[in-house]
Amino acid sequence: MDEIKNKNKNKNNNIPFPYVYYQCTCQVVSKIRKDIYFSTFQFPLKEPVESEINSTTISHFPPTHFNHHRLKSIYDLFFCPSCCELHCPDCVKNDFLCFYCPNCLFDVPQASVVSEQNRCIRNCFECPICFNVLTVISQQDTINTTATDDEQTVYFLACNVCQWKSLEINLSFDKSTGLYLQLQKKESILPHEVEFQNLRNHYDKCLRSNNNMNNINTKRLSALFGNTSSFLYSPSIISHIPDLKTKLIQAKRDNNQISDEYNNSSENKDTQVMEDELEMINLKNLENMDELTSLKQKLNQPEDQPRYLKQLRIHRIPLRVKLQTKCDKCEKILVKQEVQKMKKPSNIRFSIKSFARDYIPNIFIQKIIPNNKLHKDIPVQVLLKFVNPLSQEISVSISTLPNKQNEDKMDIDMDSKKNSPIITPKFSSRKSSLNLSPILSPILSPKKRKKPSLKISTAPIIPINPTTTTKIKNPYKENAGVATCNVTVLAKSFKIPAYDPTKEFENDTESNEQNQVGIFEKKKNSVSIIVEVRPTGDIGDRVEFPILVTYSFVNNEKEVNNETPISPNYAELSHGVQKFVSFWSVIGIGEISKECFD
Amino acid sequence: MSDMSVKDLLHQTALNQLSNKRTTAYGIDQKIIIDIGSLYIKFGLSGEASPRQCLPNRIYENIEHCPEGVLVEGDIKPLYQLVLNPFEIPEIYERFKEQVKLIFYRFMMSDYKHKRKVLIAENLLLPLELKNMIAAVLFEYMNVPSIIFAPSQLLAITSVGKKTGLVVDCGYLETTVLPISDYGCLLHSIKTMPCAGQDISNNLKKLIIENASISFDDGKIFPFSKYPNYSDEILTNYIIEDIKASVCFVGLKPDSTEIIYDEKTHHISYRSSASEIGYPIENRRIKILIPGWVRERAAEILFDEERNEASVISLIIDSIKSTPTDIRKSLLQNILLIGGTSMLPGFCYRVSQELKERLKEDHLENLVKEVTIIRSKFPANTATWIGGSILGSLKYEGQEVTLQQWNETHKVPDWSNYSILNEEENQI
Repeated sequence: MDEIKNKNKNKNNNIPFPYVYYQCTCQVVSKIRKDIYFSTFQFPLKEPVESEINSTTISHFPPTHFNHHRLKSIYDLFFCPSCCELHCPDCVKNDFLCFYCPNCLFDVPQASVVSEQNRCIRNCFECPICFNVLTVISQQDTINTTATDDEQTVYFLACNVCQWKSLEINLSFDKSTGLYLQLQKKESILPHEVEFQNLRNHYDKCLRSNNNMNNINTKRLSALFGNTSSFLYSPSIISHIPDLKTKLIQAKRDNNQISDEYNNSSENKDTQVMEDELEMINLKNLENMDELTSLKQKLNQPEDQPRYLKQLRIHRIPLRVKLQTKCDKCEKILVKQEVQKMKKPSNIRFSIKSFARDYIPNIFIQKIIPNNKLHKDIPVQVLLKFVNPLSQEISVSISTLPNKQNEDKMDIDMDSKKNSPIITPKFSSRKSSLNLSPILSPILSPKKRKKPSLKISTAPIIPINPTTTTKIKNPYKENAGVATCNVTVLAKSFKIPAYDPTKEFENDTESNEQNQVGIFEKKKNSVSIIVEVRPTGDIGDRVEFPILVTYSFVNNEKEVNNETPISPNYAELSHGVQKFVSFWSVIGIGEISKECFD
Repeated sequence: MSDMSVKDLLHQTALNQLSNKRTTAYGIDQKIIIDIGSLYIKFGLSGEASPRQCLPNRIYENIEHCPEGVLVEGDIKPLYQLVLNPFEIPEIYERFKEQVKLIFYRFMMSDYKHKRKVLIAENLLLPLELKNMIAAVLFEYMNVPSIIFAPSQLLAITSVGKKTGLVVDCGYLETTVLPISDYGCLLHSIKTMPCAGQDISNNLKKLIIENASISFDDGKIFPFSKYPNYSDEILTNYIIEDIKASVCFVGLKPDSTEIIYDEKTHHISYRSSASEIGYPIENRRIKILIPGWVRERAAEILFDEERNEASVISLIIDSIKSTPTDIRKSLLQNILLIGGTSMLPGFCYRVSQELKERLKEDHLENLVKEVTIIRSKFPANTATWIGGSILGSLKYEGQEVTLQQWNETHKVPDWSNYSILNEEENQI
């Protein structure tokens, strides 16, 4: 079991090198909630935890799983200008702007979306075999009809990809237009549709027949919802569908004519078994699988889940939707596409976009020196380029996880204790106490925990459980990367000049003023710093390390400019106030390869 | 904006009533029905005759890195297991969140503005943690106005219009037998066994590795066991599920002459007249040749009392025996098989045959002729959902957990804390 898990994990972690990924704020929130959950076994509410988030709390929670799933590239992230936080697609609110068919790009009004079961009502159909688009073909196109002058051209649908034809399921049309209406007639007499209608009418009748009893029933009903109840303490009440029983039984007593049993049209009682036996025998003598449907095809037709290709039906193409994105916290719209009066789904312009790349310093790996394969204990220098997209000067400070001095991976715990630098986001150090969770839980209860978490000196709460700690520790042990290198940053803090669009195409004329130690070069609105990485892990380990970036800026603009998306709208920031924002990012530079002594 | 949407909704209701008979007349009240299985989530709107989709619980590798409309689908993996480690809840939470996101935004197209209530078909013995997790995702992430929990077996029995019956739920993780009388679950008679679809899948995989062979397009055939390393790669959960769903079936009870017991390896194999099938993989270049008896006997573990100490039949018998004598007859007349595993061809036949035999052995001869398996027009795995859809479209109120209640108590009602919803009255 574990092996499989590891395999999966490795699969997930096949991020091609090199990369720079960012940790979203919501990961911190969920980590805190997870920690509280593990210590108290109660899932904490979101809001109180969210309000705790600031640049200090974030610094306590470095990214732990290095898998694709949780880390995002900067192009996937949003930045809410009013709460100054990163957001990822997981922690935003989405609502719908418009619905459209991906095939004909026809904008479907919201009103007809539901009644049409979210499918296109025009002539867009999906191939039941390979799920591509079907096209209408007239019979005469394919077969030169000989003298049969019926003048009735037969139309059918065909798939250009897998050559499937709707004739295979005996489906053809008289007209080439309005296919849906022709199909609908056939669909409405399908056995499951008829049965469903019958059933619903049956229950509807039962419930309506005792409408006069409604007063009593509503009382009973409300009792079931917990308004007045003394006789409902028995938990067995929950095993009823409330009200239904009373109403239906009442109906029976009131009116014996209405059969309280739904009558399946008189069928031989053994038909089910007989059919089943027949199908079993069919399958027993099956010769090949050409006629059988695949699981995907079955699931695409959940109403009867046919076993044979002949029973497949044509479905209309499901609609797609355009979403607009809002900040989860303050409901500020982050991304909105331009919707004109004539909503054209093909329009791809945005009216609002607050992507993170326009707000936070963008980090690039500029160069790896020497750009060879990575070997154990041979340090390489990584040039990290920080680009400031803002129109203000920002100052950036960087910190990394404490380096480990010892080669042995198991000693992480020890080392982190020894070093105990300012920020020690180590979970393993508290491992010994993990098993005492029930005893600790009162101490670690969320209310008491809140305050200390704000102080830098307190280590973050650790997930208290054997299984998950291994899971969370995994990235450091199995996925190796992090623990497999020592990282040294010389320039821990520096300033990046503002982005100035007018200088965009100017040549670099900057004089080589005396650079700060550890800074490679300064260009326009970017600064490249030197990071020394010494891989220490085994062969095949991934070399990746997290860095904590905190940047601060002062809002110089007196009037906020709402229009241009490039210049951020820090509406809540009063003039001249310094604001700190921090986030974790993970940088991966490669794998440790075999040493060769050529 | 809100005026607009109300207008839209009203317009839509009118449209529904006029043009489309299939949707409910109470357009605004349409609920979202979700039947959360461990392997498949069935969902759709109430009042519709089939779920919109059966969504397998996959591992999605990186949705957010794909352009809209493209999902990188990993293998199928059950959302949770029977043995539930509380520490796994956060992971389940994340996975379930992904699924909910897909369901609401992509398939249902219903955002938080629609304020659709959600009806969830729950297993009566669903762990409270899972229930809380489900509620947490739906309330916090999707802002649903309220959730109704309804017992899945009860929903299933409404899908055939009965009020009394014996519901045999053979799903992916476990098999449960629950008698229902007059819309009441006789919980003391519930019988379960932790052996169902998943065990068939595991068994099938084992049998394929041991007994199947691979044929290449150039005509060469090798036994599968020669490639033990590839078995996990080729036989992913999806492939196994596909094999199970398309070519497996349940044969009759094996004769003693049909069973071959290998003394050395302790492997049991069967003689069978079923044909060998080539299951194509990798663009049809390679075929897995599955022997007929493997197809026929993969599901044998469900009926193998010697190995499991329980079988589907023994569960039914035990359950029947623990019910009052006066309802036994009507229970046996209304046996309803639900759950995806019971869709295996021959399952129904086998159950009815074997049940009759066992009743004879147990001196309940008078009941033998009563055994009837209800014929449902809906596939067995969506029966529960259909029931939910019917109930959701009726004008009746169910016991709801509202968003407000959730925000106050952060708990969902259950056996253990049913009083949450009645707290005020308790104090009086």
